[in-house]
Order: sequence, then structure tokens, then C-alpha cells
Amino acid sequence: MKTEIVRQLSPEEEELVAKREELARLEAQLADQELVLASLKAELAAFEGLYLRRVGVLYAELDEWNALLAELRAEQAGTPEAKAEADEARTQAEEAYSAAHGEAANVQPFTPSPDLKKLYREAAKRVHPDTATDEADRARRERLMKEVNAAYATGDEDALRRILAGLDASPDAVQGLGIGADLIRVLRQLKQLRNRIAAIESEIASLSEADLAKLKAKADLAATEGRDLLAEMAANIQGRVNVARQRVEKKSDEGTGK
Amino acid sequence: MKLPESQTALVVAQSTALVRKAAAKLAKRGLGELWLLESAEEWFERAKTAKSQNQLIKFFECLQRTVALDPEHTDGLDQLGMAYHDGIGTLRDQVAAVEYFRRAAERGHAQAQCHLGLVYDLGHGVERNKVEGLEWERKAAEQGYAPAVWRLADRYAWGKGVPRSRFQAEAWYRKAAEKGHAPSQFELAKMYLNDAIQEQAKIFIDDPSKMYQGKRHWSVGVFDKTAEAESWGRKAANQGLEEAKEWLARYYSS
Repeated sequence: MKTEIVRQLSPEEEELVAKREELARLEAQLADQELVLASLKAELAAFEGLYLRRVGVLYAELDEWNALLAELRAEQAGTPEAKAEADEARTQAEEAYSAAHGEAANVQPFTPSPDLKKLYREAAKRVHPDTATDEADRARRERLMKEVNAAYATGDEDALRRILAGLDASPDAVQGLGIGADLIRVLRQLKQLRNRIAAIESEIASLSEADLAKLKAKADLAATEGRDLLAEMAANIQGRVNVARQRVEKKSDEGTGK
Repeated sequence: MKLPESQTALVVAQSTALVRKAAAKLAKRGLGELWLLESAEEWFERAKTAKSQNQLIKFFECLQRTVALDPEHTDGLDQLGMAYHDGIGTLRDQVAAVEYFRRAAERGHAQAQCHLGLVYDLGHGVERNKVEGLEWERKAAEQGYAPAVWRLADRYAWGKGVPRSRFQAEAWYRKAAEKGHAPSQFELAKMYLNDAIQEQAKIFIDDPSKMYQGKRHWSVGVFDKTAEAESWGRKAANQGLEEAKEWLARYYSS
């Protein structure tokens, strides 16, 4: 028969246990919040890609025709005002083109699997920079967190597994510097976690306020009514593109007719 | 020429930021243009709702969208003209008002024709031109637009811009009155009572001895005319025209 020696915990030890439990809860909550934020960002990026491919390209085309028209007018009128207008139209056309055909337009639809979400939550909990105990550790975790976020955005489950496996291999943070030191460290971690959770909340709020998020909300609402908002927008702009193209053709005929 | 590596990275970062900004601009643009996907009629309905809720700026914006989506939306053009003329939800701009009234009036909108006639008549936002004013007013009246019919009748009754004509005045007042236009009904009432009094006066002038013998010397024609006057007066009063109510009360107390 074995006897178990039960030692009475000192008040500091009790406090440490309680704080460690709270830390674990906050870590889980933070991981959830990070998941929400990362998902929101990825969804918005995916929607932006879709929007730029379906609507943005048409805006770019519309602006191109408008710029051509303004340039033809400037050529015929020869006034500084017409020239300024043409320059402005050209700048806008270039800007629209750069957005519609840039990297953001390549982002593909985001459909995270339950596994991906689970892996992300796990990884976020384990590597989160705000659980760092010192500056060097923090820098390492920040780098890892970036990798985790990137892997999540691209749906790369393998990358997340690799990151997690790497963590298993790395030695645990040094502990046992005494109860007082442990308690101070835990309290500092708690504060960092709370700050980060608050920061995530405000970031989510500001992301949801952005025009892109509002547009996505409208598109989602339209979809529930069986409407395809982006297709409707595209059709509308296509109509304006056709008008603008005809104007350019007419204007350039006038130019050559002279 | 090649930039050092650190500088190339900077240029890339800057151009990425610019592209991000441009993409955000496209999102803003799309959001701002969603209203283009709806019909002029939907925006006109919204304008009416906004007006009924006294949201005047919204009212004005909805009207602008209505005519932007359908440049031939005559109700929208006329309302927008009124908004500019009276400064409803926007700064007063009577010159702009004239243009909107004209666009709707030229497309046959009776109320806008009447408004255009009025601004020509008053010289609001356009050089005062009584002849042009009368012409537009007449177009509206010929379509049976009651306020224009009434104004035209008034012109004939008082000889304002047209030769005075009792016959024309009565015909136009009657046209509006029969459409239920209360002020015209009241004008008819007064007109017929005036006729009755004129006729009775003639009888008294021919034989002054009848003056003190009361109603038994009223001719049938006079009775008919007073009855008609009373009937129109009652119609106007029943529609709540204060002047007519007061007049009718006095009529009965005579």
C-alpha cells in the first residue's frame, strides 16, 4: 500500500494555481479570438479577390475608356484644363488597373475545413507571442505566429502540423525560479493576454467597418434573397463600359474625319 | 540602373501599399454605386417615404437618384424642381428649378407645366415672361390639372394677361370645380350669387316699388342662381375650405 503525502499548499501556491487556471482559460479564449480574426481577414481577402476579378476589372476597363476619351478631348481642345482632366483620368485608370490586376485579385475563395480551424486554434494557443516569458521568446513566437496566420489564410494544414511538431521538439520554458517569480510571470502573461484580446476585438470592429466588409455584407444579404450582387454590379458597369467605348470610337472617328 | 536591394524592397512595399489603397478605393466606389442597381421608381418611392417622415435631405438625395437613373422620370423631375425652388433638402437654386420644371413640362407633365408657367410669371430663376407663363399654364389647364385650370379661370375673371371674359372664366372654374377643386367651387358660388344679385337689381331698377316687398318678387332665374351658388358653396365648405365655410354660414343667416 502506498501512502500519498499531501502537502498543504501555501497561500502563494494557491494563488499561483488559480492564476494558472485563469491563464489556461484566457489562452483558450485568445486562440478562439485569433481564429475569428484570422477567418475574418481571410474571408475579406477572398471576397476582395472575387470582387476585383468580377467587378474591379470592369471598373479598370471603364476608367481606361474614360481616360482615352479625356485624352482625345485634350488632343482636340488643346487647353490646359482638358490636359489636366486627361492626366487625372489616366492616373485613375492606372490605379484601378493596378488594383484589379494586382496580387489581391488572385486570392482564392476561403473555405476552411474543421481540421484547419482546429489546427489553427491549437497552434495559436501554443505559439502565441503574448504567452512569451522573455523578449527572445517573444520574437521567436511572433515569427511563428506569422507563419501560422499565413498557413491558415492559404489553407495549408501541413504547414500548421509542421509548426506544431517543431514546438513539441523545443524545450519548455525554464521554470522553477521560485513561487514568487512564477507568480509574477503568470500575472504578466495574464495582462498581455487581456491586452491582446482587447486589441483583437477592436481590430475585428474596425475591419467590419471597412467598405469592403460592408460590401460583403450586402452581397451576403443579396445571396440570401437568391441574388448575385457582384453579377448585378458587373452588368451595370459593363453597360457603362459599352457606352464609354462607343463615345471613344465616335470621338476618334471625328478626329480622323477632320 | 539597378536599385540597391534594400531600396527595391522599399519600392515593392510602397507599391503594395498603393495597390492596397487602390483596391480599397474600388471597394468604396462599388459600395457607393450600389444604388445604381435599383430602379428609378424604387428611389422615387423612397423619396416619397422620406418626405412623409420629414427627412428632407434624404428626400432630396432619393430624387436625385431617381432622375439620374431615369432622366425622363417626370414626377421625379418636377419634385426635384420644387426641391430646388423652395430649398427642400438642398440650397435654394431657382435657376436649377426652372431646368427641372422644363424637362418635365416638355415631356407633358401637367403639374410641371403649371410650375414652369408660374416661375415665368413670377420671374423666378428665369427672365419674367408673362406670355410664356400663360402658355405653359394653359397647357397644364388643357390637361385638366386643377390648380392650372383655376389660375386660368382667375385670369379670365380678372383680365390678367388675357382679355376679361365672363364666359371663359365660368367655363374654366366649372372645369376645375367639377374635378373637386374647392377654391374653384367657391369662386363659382360667388360668381352665381353675383349673377343673382345683378338680376334682382335689374328688377328693382325697373320697378323700385318691389324693393321693400321681400323675396316674393324674386324671379325664378334668381332663385335658380342662388340655389346653384349655395350648392357650390356647400361643396367647397364640405372640403374644408375655411373661407367657404364662413361664407356659407353667413349665407344661411341672411
